[in-house]
Amino acid sequence: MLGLANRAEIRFILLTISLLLPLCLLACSSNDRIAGYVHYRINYNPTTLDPALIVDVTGGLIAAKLFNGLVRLDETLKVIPDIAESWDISQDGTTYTFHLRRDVRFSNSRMMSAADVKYSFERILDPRGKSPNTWILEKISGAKAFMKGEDSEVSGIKISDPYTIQLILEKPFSPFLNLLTMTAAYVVPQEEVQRWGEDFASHPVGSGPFRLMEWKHNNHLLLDRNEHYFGGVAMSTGLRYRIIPEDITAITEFELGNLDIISVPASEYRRIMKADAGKNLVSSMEGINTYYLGFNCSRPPFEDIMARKAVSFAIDRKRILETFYENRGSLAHGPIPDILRRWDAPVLPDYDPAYARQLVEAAGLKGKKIQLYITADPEVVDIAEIIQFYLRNAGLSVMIKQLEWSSYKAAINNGEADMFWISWWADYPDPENFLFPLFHSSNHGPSGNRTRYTNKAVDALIEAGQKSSTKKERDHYYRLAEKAIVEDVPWVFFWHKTDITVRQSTLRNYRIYPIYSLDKGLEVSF
Amino acid sequence: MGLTGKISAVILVLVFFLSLFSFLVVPYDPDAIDLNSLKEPPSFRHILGTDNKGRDILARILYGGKISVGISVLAALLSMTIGMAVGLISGYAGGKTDTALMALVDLILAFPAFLLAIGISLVLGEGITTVMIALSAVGWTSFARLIRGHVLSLKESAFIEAARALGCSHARVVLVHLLPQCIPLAFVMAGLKAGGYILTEAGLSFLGLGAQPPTATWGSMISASRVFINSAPWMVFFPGIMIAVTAISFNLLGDSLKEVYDNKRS
Amino acid sequence: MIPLLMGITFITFSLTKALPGDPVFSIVGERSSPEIIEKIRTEIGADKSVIRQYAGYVTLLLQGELGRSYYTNRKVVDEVGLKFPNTLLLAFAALVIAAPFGVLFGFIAALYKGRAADKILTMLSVSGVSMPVFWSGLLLMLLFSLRLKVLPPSGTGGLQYLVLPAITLSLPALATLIRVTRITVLDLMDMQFIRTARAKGLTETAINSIHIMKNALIPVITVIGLEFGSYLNGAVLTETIFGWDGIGRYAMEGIIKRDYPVIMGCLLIGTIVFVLMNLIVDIVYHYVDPRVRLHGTDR
Repeated sequence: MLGLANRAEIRFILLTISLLLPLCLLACSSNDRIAGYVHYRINYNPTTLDPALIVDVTGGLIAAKLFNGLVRLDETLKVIPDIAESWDISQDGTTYTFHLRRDVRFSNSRMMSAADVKYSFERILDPRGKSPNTWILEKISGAKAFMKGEDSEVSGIKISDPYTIQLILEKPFSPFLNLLTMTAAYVVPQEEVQRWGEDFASHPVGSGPFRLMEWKHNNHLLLDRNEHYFGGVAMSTGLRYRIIPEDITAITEFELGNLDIISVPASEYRRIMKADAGKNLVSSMEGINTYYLGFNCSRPPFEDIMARKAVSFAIDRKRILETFYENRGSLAHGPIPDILRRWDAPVLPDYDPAYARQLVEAAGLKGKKIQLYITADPEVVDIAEIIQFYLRNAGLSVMIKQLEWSSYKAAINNGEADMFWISWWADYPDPENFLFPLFHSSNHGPSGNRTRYTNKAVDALIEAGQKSSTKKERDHYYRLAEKAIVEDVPWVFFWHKTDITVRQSTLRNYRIYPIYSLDKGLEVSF
Repeated sequence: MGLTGKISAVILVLVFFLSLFSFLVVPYDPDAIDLNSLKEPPSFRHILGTDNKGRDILARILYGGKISVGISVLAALLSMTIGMAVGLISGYAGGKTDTALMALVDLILAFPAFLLAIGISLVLGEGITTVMIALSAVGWTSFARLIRGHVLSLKESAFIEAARALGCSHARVVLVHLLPQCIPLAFVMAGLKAGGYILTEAGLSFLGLGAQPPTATWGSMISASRVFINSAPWMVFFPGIMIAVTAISFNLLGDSLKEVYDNKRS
Repeated sequence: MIPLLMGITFITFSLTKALPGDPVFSIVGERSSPEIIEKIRTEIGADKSVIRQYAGYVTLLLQGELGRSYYTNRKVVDEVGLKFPNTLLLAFAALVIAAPFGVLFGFIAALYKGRAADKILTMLSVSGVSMPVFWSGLLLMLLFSLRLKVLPPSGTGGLQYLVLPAITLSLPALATLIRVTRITVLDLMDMQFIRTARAKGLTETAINSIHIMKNALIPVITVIGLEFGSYLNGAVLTETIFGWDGIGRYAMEGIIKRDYPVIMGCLLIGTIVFVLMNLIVDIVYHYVDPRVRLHGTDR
């Protein structure tokens, strides 16, 4: 037996060595960078890069590097020229005349003209295209007829010469320029769209500071800089977006030096903040969003304002924000984010569990089962359980119902939930975007007013603001509207989430923007 | 029964009792959120630490054990019952019935068990009952095969022939004479199956197909803690240990019972 | 074989029809073109008898219409085609780890039966089958990627990304192989023909390494084959933990999003692969069985 035992042992040792050896080699080859490119992380493979079809943040932020619109926003959220170098607005506020630059070039070398703008806009409104973003350009007169197929073009888009285009609205709409900064209003070259057909979504061609060189699905996207960009050549050689679904991996890759900027994942926040002490590589910006607990105001129990007040007094939002949410946001004082509010914030009442209990009794809610609808996101589940716990202490019995995203949207759009947790992110940086879609009675359901809140006085105030021509007037109406809304408690206003990123010390000129689509990627480099 | 078998049995009984009487062991409500004690490592106050909502992990593990162990044991018993019934009928009846039933067994066994369980869970909707049904619907097949084989070997034996000769109806033969012979064997398999079910239930919970929040099950605790593997590894570690210990105990117990059974027969 | 395939497709067909919502949307998503939706509806619409619906379902399958993702509207067959090689690679790597170590350790355990080595290996093998793969995977990730930082925690790609998921996936199979090899070797050590060989005067070493190994290989090959097929089970969880872009993770994402076409497509394909694996094992088994050779039957 001895001879055999030795043999077995020898074999074992040899096998082990032969397997460990490559392991050592692996440890040495942990580098996954392309020199000169700025490495970003995105957490899923974008579904499409066709601006007409993009509805998600990831698609939007990449599209911003590849395309341009008539106008864009600067970091102070002011509307500034992009393809249009100047514009005039008529007295009555319905006619916008844009004077286009003459040096805008698509990456296929063709120069852009007004015809391209008209083509791109009509493409959005084309009923055959099935774009979900028609609402952005619907306000142009003739758009509705075109969408119904009654007209072969949109009468409100007029080209007077190759570098002048007019957009005529049905009625004045003060945030209209903001709508034109959005992804769907980017300009695309007709010949490329026709050449690629459906595949344009994976082979986008635009006029932007970068062009898409390579897209390995589920792996990465490689963008090279556009040497002929009218806005100046980018400082970096290019951008690389690595697709990394797992947060832990993103952090590890960042710490290994394979990523240059990442969004700080909630689970690692504390550790990264500690590690950053003195280095100042973490940037944060209050996002233009509001996270809230919405009530279904159209039926019992929450059609009763006392019930809504009971819930709002029962939850210690401040404490949740400070402890569980680690102050990664700022407490909301109403639906409008502080960064957009140009007047004094409303004052919300403090956490008062005793009063909440009283209200629960008075509203006859004690022991009643309430359904809280949420999505399957783990962080949302956590918040829901915390809310459930607070409400339990107030005498309310809450059942959490978790649904995947489309079922969830359908359910709350149909008014199936008693309460739901959701967030609203700005389509464009105007307080109107946090009032009209969310609280105007014409928007019940998928357009944004999922609480089915109805208040005619508030409707009138919002409409007045939309028609106003001066900022002062607008702000006056919006302030009154917000005050009325806050008093009605259609939501428990939680917080505005802060966008937090961390970068490598080798990265220069990095800045964090309030809206992802502002970032054209021009300044950042090594 | 060997020493390992006895130890496993003791461990299982312990897990059982701790789950049932968890309120005696830990002073914490498993669902009680404590925003002051988020993600605390194990300490004297919280023996296994707290999760990212300040809930005591030991309390949640014991509370979750009720479900995880409960489902596995019930599913084992359920699949044992179904499998035994089918096996008895198939083995005794023979002929076309046997062929048909065994074809069904083969068909179900052709599927990768976990994937099939997932499919069934999706059709029935998430929940504890669903998991139990899904586990049993796939697992009864092993029992059917085993019992059928046993019945086939017993069918020709003297005492069965005697019973038939005495005029016993088929039902009586099966229920009174064959069934008792199959029960010990079935229980041995049940023990082993329960071990496997613990893991499958954990897997289904991990995918979100089992009990819904805030109810704790060992699998869903690990799933929810995945992102905290770096900052709070104890959240992942302890529920997994429980799964492993319980599954090991079931497996070892099953092995011991098998040895006892084999020894008794020879 | 055919009846089995029919049975399998019938079960997946029934499940597809039983899923919540419109069965047509369990095969393609709402974003599909109206023509495709119409085509599916004509084949499996509820206005026909069950048999006709089933026949329609099979027709769709034979046309390669395994469905289109509810969300991305990409064809399930295409995505599976892209991702399946990754799962195959992972399964193969897991096999490369499990097979030699499993057989070796099983052999050692049998050799040292009753002694410390045997007891330790047996304990390890019982643990191996009793640990949930998603847990062992996370712990391996914690140790090697996050604390020691020698391997990446997740991702698809070269060898460095393959190591941890392959080890994780291999553990249950490794454990099973240790047990099976040990039992087989022990059984064989008692068998008639070994005693005969011993009587013939062959040296211990020769007997052990040649005869036992050859005979032990049969059940071992069977187990390896079955385990390989069942990697499809473990792959769902392992690939998810390690972000390995195979059909396991594809199915997992489908499950989370309730993307029924994806889930059903993966179930069907996974099962067919599983069945094929079993078939291959059967063939190899017949080919390799030395008992046939020993008795001199010509093949």
